[in-house]
Amino acid sequence: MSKVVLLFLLFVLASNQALACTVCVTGKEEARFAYYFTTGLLSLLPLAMIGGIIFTVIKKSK
Amino acid sequence: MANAAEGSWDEPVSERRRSGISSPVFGMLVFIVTEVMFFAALISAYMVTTANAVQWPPVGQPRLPIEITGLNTLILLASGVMIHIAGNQFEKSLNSKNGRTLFLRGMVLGVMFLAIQGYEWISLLSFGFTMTSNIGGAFFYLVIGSHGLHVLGAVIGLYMLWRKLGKGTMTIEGYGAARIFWYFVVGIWPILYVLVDLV
Repeated sequence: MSKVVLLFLLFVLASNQALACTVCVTGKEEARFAYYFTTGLLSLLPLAMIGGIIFTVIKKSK
Repeated sequence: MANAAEGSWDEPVSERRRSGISSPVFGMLVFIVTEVMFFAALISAYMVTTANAVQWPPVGQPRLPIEITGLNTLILLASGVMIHIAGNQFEKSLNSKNGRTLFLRGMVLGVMFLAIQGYEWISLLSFGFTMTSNIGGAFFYLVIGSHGLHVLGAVIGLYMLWRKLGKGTMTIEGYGAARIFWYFVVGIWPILYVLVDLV
């Protein structure tokens, strides 16, 4: 158990920042907004569309 | 145990279809979900790239033809309205003369949109603005070109439907599916126009 805790602490405390994406590298506020906006768009859009189709199918079948 | 009035699986297929959404329309809706995601990905890539750029539009990029594209946008929107009203007419009767006229006009406006866009592209290419000119050129031809291909596909689909209408084999469900796809190509265009041409 103590090994697991030690491993967890190693991961949490000894990890470095991963500056992999362009948004992290430039650090522009405009880029940050674009990143958040597009992440939200690409995450929520499919759920909204599938939900919309299910809603339409149920509504039309009533 | 559900009875026939509640939409049981025991009732004939034609009865079940009548009470719900038709298969062509449902298939088209699912297809459009994938298409929306395709354009959402392009838009996202474009937004992140422009936000990260030191200067946008890139140096040396010619001024995009905003006015003529604005007019072209109105042409495409008018075409969408005509296809919509034609659909309403066909729902009353597939032999509606008014519906046929509006359908044909909507289709012709779609062809006009493609022709004007083709003319714009020839002008830009003759100016030396190609896909490899800079990242702006790459995005312009990729995003606008993808949309143009969709319009071309939709116009071909509408033409095939027009021929079916002439033969008397067109169904309202088939028209409904084509109409939804046309709404999509018309609806996504103003977003692309504002993002790529105006911003």
